[in-house]
Amino acid sequence: MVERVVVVDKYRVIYEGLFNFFELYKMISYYFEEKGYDKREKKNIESVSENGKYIELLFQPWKKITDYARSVLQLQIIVDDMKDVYVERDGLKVKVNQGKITFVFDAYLETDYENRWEKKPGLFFIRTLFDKYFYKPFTTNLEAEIKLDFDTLVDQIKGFLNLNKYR
Amino acid sequence: MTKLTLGPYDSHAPIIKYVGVFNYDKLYRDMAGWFGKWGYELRENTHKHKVPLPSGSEQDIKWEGWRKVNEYVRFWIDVHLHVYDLKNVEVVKDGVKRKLWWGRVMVRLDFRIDLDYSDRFKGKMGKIMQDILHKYIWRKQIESGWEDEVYYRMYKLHEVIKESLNMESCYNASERRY
Repeated sequence: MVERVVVVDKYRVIYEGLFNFFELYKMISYYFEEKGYDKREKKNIESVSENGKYIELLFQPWKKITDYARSVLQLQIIVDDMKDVYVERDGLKVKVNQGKITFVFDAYLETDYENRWEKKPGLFFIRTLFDKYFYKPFTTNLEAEIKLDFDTLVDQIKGFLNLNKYR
Repeated sequence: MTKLTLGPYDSHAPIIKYVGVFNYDKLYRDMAGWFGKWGYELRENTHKHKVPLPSGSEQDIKWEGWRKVNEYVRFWIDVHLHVYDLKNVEVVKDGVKRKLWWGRVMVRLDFRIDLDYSDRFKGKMGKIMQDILHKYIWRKQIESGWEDEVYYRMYKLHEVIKESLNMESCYNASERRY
């Protein structure tokens, strides 16, 4: 089985107000692509009702670091009661969205994701030994890299929501 | 070893769910059109239409599209479209009345890769040679080449479906790939 080290566990960002959902989605997708993560959009739910739109997205992009380790950034986005509203900016009417967005972030380091070191007890033993005594500095570095990717993503999202104030 | 199929890759399978008004004919046409555009042969394995209830009708459609990459490799893209509570509705948009559909849509995509689909490697010697090809010579090509290619092509179809349903998250940052 894949060994999973949790680097970030259910970090939440909640925002309520005006935003541009399409631009936000574009920015997040582009971020993953730029950082070399393989696209994995596991869930994309959209429900239209009288109160507005409910959107739920689950991204689980992953990046192969070596044949032994890969990083996974998981991001769940839940948008409640999203409505289209028009605001005036620089004398022009601009269509934006209004609603509540919840972001839930998780980040993992997955090792032995191809289950190569679990086929025999001997291999499992060697792997545990190596993980504990030889690879520790290596995996610590990888964890720091994943944490950096996560921090940058959170900063970008926060920046996007704060910088684009449609007031 | 003869034909070898990699996948379906359940853990990678993207799911789209949509509840609301949509153009069912357009969705069906766009999806089928995408397969045609990219040179896939489309096979409709299931097309169930259940007796309409007061809440609406139900349709269950399963497609598989395949395309030869070369004489050894074949890509498959599977689509499972399930629509519940499907009803006809009339919508007025820009002063024009249009007949559309309201329903709950679920689309699940997956992919597979056939290696040696024409059964060229037969017997013990064939198996040994095929193993060498798969494990040493073509390992990278299989994992990072063909798997990636069909994976990102599947996401192009994913994009077409979202666009057809007029969903908010209509953007594919990996459009340039393959």
